[in-house]
Amino acid sequence: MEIIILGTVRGALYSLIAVGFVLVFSVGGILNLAHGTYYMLGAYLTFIFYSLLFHGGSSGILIVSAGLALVSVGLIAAVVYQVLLRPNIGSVTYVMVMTLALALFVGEVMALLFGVSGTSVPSFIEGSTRIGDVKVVNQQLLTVPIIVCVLPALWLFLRKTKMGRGIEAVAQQRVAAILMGVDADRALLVTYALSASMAASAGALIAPVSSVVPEMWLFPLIKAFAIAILGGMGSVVGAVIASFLMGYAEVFTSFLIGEHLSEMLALVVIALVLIIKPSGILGKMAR
Amino acid sequence: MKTDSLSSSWVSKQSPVGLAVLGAGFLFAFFSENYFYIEILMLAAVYGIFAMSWDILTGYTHEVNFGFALFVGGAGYLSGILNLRMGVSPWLTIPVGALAAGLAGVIIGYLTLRLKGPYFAMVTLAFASIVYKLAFILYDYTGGEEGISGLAPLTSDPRWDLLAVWSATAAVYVVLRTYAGSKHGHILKAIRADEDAAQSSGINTAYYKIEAFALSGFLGGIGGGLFAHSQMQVGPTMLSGYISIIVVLLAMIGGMGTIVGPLIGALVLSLLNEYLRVIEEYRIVVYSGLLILFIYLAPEGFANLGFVKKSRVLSSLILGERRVK
Repeated sequence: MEIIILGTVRGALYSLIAVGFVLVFSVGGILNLAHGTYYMLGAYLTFIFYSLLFHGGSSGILIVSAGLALVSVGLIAAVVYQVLLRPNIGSVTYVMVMTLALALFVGEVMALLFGVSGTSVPSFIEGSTRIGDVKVVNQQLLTVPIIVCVLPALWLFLRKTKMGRGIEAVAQQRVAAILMGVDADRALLVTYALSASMAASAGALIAPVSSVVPEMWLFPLIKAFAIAILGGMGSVVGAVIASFLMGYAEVFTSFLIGEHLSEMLALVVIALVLIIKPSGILGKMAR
Repeated sequence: MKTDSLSSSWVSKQSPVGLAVLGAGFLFAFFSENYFYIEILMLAAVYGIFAMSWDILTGYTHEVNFGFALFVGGAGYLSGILNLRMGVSPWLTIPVGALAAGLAGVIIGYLTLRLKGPYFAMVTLAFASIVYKLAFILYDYTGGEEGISGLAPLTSDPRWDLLAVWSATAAVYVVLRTYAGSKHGHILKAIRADEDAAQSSGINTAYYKIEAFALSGFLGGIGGGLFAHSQMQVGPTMLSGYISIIVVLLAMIGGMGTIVGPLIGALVLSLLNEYLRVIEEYRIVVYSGLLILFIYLAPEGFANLGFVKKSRVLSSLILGERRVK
């Protein structure tokens, strides 16, 4: 029971991070190693807006700050894409190295500005809820309704709007989509900004329950990658399934063996899946 | 040109700039008395070894190894543990550590044979992260967060240390240039261009990829061992993603697939990093910002810039490519 509830909470958080990562890969064929950095920026900007701009206040102001953080991260990502990535978007190596260098850079900037010990923000909603005999902190539980809203919204966006259908088309067949008049470049730009905002929302949600530190970008990046690999790179549905599998598996291992080994689980999953079945659960092997 | 003797064709393939830099380092090591600069140059030389060893795999096959720290830190820890716990001399522990790293290269190379592009990059990163985590879990052997310190130095005098490290750098350089200029290097380039075509020409591409991985690991392991003993300590930073990223950046900025580019890139940028210590507080921020700027300006690296390749003088000076009219 405990495993199911905690695993669901964890899985919801992971899917919020991983879906954007997978979406960018399927549309642009690029591996965005700065994904964890947007997650981190989401947490940091929430803190900056809340504590430094508004000087604290009620939870309403906190939610406004989180919203502002999402928008700004989306804008930052759009600028990063236009200025740094777009000139060499065709080179997978360049994009990986550039985004990883960016991750390093932003981490160091944050360490310089706010110190390595980190900062924190108060919870959106205080207290905790008992489900059966399991106690869950409300703030963590909040990820579940949010993911229940975000995923259908994303699905509607991708299926029902012109932009979203364009993005889908580029992901399926880039050349054909361009021939049909889809602006593939703009599709990728929107996807990139959207995925960064989603990562940032995960960061803003997690900021109150975990400390906001400069190294926090690495953990979600590895998780997102493990999930993307497990679900099949390029498959959004696979990513959601894999997120929850990963959440349950991690909670299960940490109950069974210990917390530090559950951290290694993601890495072992990456290595094993890539070696045994590189296409993942629901993916097509891209070459 | 069958009439050329082996030695003259070997000389004609050398890069004058690369040899000049190596010579200058030897002169410095012989004559300098300034221990501060000696330490700095030693560190730069170790990074040079890393960047060159990384380049033989990634520069020639274009499969990005994002987990180079595995070789560096793995060999560093192994030689450190052997030295401290069993009292083995550094001159034995470094080769042992390097051999282990080479073996790790064979294993990872074998496991990742079918993977390409992002998949390859991330599985190497994952392997390095697993070993990084192991360094904390196997606390009893590795000393966890603090690592292990008190390793035996290479020699008793820092000047001899530098000479030893620099000789290793020169040896790695010569080995890699020779390897890259040999049939093996050309086959790696053929694999980079089109693996299927290379395979259908009867080349056992798997063998050559694993060979390059092993060589990269072995030489990187030598660098890791030298790093550990010249710093007289090993810590988890040696296994961390930071080392992997920096090695990738140094080699890419220098110019992948040239060996000489990564060497000079690593030397120059490491010296620049030390120079930035005048603004210590902002050093890493400025340094990583500069690295981003360089990658942005010259994604192919400085040795591969268009005007270097086109100009006959520059390409023969830097890359050592003589073109016949």
